Amino acid sequence: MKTVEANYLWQQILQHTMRFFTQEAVDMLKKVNIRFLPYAEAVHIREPLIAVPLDIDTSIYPEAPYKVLFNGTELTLWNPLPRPRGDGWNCLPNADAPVWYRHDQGTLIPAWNIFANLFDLLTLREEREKPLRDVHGRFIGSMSPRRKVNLLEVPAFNEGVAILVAACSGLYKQNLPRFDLNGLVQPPVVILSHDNDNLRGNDMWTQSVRFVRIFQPLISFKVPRLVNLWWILRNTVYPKAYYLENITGMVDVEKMFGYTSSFYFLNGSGGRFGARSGSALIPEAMRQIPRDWVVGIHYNYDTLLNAEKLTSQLTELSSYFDRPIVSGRAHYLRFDPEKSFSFLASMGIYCDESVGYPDYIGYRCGIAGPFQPYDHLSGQALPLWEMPLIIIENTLINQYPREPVKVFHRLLYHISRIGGAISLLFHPGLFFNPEFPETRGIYRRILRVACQLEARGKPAVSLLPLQIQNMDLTHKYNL
Amino acid sequence: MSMEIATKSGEHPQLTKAEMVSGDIEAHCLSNSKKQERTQQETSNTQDIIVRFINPGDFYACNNFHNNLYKKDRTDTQWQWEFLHSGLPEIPFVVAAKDEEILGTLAQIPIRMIDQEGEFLTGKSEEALLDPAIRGKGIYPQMFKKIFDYMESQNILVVWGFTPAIKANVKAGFEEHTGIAQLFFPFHADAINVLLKNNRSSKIKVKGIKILCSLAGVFSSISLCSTGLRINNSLAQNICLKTLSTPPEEGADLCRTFVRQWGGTTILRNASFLKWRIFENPHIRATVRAAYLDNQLLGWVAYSLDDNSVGHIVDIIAASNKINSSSMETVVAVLLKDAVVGLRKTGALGVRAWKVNSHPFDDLVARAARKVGFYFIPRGEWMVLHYLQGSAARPSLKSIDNWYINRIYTEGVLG
Repeated sequence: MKTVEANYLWQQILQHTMRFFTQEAVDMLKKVNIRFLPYAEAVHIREPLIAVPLDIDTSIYPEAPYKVLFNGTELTLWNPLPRPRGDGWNCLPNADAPVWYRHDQGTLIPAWNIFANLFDLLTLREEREKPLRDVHGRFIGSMSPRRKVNLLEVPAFNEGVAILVAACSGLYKQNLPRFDLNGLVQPPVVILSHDNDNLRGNDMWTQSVRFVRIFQPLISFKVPRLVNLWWILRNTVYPKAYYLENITGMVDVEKMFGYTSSFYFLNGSGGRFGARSGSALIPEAMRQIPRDWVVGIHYNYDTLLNAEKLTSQLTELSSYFDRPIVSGRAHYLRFDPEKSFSFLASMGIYCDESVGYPDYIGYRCGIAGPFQPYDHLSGQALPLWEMPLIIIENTLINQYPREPVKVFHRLLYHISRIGGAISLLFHPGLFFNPEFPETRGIYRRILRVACQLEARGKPAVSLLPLQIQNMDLTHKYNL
Repeated sequence: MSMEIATKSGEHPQLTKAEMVSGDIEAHCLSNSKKQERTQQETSNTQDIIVRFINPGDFYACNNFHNNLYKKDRTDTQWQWEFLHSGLPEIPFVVAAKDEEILGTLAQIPIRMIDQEGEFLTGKSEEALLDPAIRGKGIYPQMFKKIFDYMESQNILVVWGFTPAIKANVKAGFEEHTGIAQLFFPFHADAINVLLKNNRSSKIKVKGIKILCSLAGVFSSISLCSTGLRINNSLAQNICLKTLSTPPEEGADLCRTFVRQWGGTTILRNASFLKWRIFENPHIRATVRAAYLDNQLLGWVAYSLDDNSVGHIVDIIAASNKINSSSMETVVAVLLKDAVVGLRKTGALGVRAWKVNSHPFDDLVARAARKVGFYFIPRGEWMVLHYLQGSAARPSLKSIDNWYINRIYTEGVLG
């Protein structure tokens, strides 16, 4: 059984390497002998290869996290493996924070449980085992055991692959693992996307929420928020201002950096958690989005695992689009860790961006980049690509109100050292809206940071295999 | 990039502008005996400093030198884009180096210009940086001489640059200068924070200015909405605006028409220049909106947004054989209005453009800008010129007022 899992993990590692490293790195990874095998066998190997133990069980609670310096950044490893007994084993780079156990004969064993850690993260083991959910049925960041030990912002998969690539490069050239990636890693990628929850600001729900919030401060004996009356009036007169009209501005700013992005549209059922703006403005919004940009579906609140509702939403949305719907994200990030992947694959979604935390920035699947989810029934990768959501603009600002752009720089710099893609969601309604002054200019500054780190800014689907990007799916919905 | 000489802190808090270039650092430091000792020691070491042209091995060090002095994060790609595009046999980049350590830099970016007599080469001065420890030792004049001699040998007629330190640059040999004023369209009161970046006014005064800025914004918006009343509306309605994603092939012809129509000289905006300067700019690519009438290119406006959410008109140019000068004001107003609306949608707090001299087109842009709702602010940096051999024979180079100058003359960090 573990062999099946190991094959899946190796496939994801290879695909990740091909996407974010040079061809030279991929070749070395393929040439070096890497075996997944039980720990007891691994410790008895006496030849120059990498032996990855796959049979050491872990709990979902990370144990003994520690940091190591690597390629100009700091990696965080956890669930350390015991040092093999017997003579000839050394700790590299040092015994205090080992990355590898190396035998004098050249055998390398990772010093942390790379197999279990990465496999568990990609398969969302935390949330499959923990029944906790919030009012929207979501497993949120504060429920994750990694949150308690500050590991949500650790892209463990990327770090593990970077260590493997560097080790292979060292083994290939001088029979010793290296701890840098000189010339092997490609520039980072920033996956840009925008959920068009509201295309106008005068719908009943948005205006009602503004009205209620006028009086909210009274509860804590503060002055009522009378400015909301202005926002109510403003969007009554100019419904599209700062919502639909921001799309052009966002596209312009992206163009200034040579970036493109995805726009996900919400249609279908209305209501407080549904498509508040309805669908009437979608064609007008579409006209503002250049053809090189990707448009997709923002699965409505009530479509979670509901094939009928999602089909209906897809069919309606397809009628507005001049290009196929290949990708999407769930409204409110509603997602079932057991069933959603296979459900979305069965619905013809090829790229999903729903797996992120609404309350914390971080790597819900431990990976900064796309991967194919594991199908526990068949033991194979699903025909779906998940691009986990790492950063939502208002989460970033709530979590780091003083220095959101610096935090973005820190995260992206780390990824630039180890390879990968950070996914950023920025809502058009928060791009430039005097009602939310805290987000003013943030998107522009974030893109500038990305540009200075020589990152590529793209929609998620552009990272996927070419046949998916070029797929004409219009026939899928009987159009 | 201005031509000032920076200190290690990236600013120049203790030195006067004259000191920055004249290198009169010893006098500034007299009160500090330790520093004086160090200076004496350094004086003896300046003999080992070599002024030479850059080698490929210096690229990284030169960019690092700049980044450390200015506390910037310019990437190697951006450095290469800026300085490895000269087309001259030697890279016009001089360094002062001791052993392999870079202690000073001075560069020229060759820019092709055009006047009624044809095309000619000029040099844009850049990267004038000297380590504070070696100022006042005669290194800077050596660097200037070396690069000016080279530029002259390559038939460059004039070199130019931008600076806040006008006296120092005049002392360094720049003969002519002109002040750069601003045209400003306010959207939001916070825009004033950017304009008053180094101002130490009291909080009450700033608050007052902000209120005025808000009011000015309201008046500007009213002006913008009613622009149609002040321009040739029938012409405006026939103008077709397009966003360009590649440089227009007619760019060079437009510039030829421009110098015939408006006189003087300006940068030759041919396809290769625009591709380099705007469409493949690794800092930020300005949005270029072109105006067409009956499929004929009339002109364009290029605009971008800076880190402080202030919009900038990077370039605006218009010329046509078919349209007279007064109607051209409508074309410029339409372009400016489009840029203002576009920048407002990107979340800009305000829009800045330049008003530099009394070139006829510069005056026309200012008039059109007033009609759209811009205000004139007589405040800004300086542009300086230094004539090289052969320039005297060129009538368009007799006065700086003959130059049509806007932000496209800058190094391109803002697009």
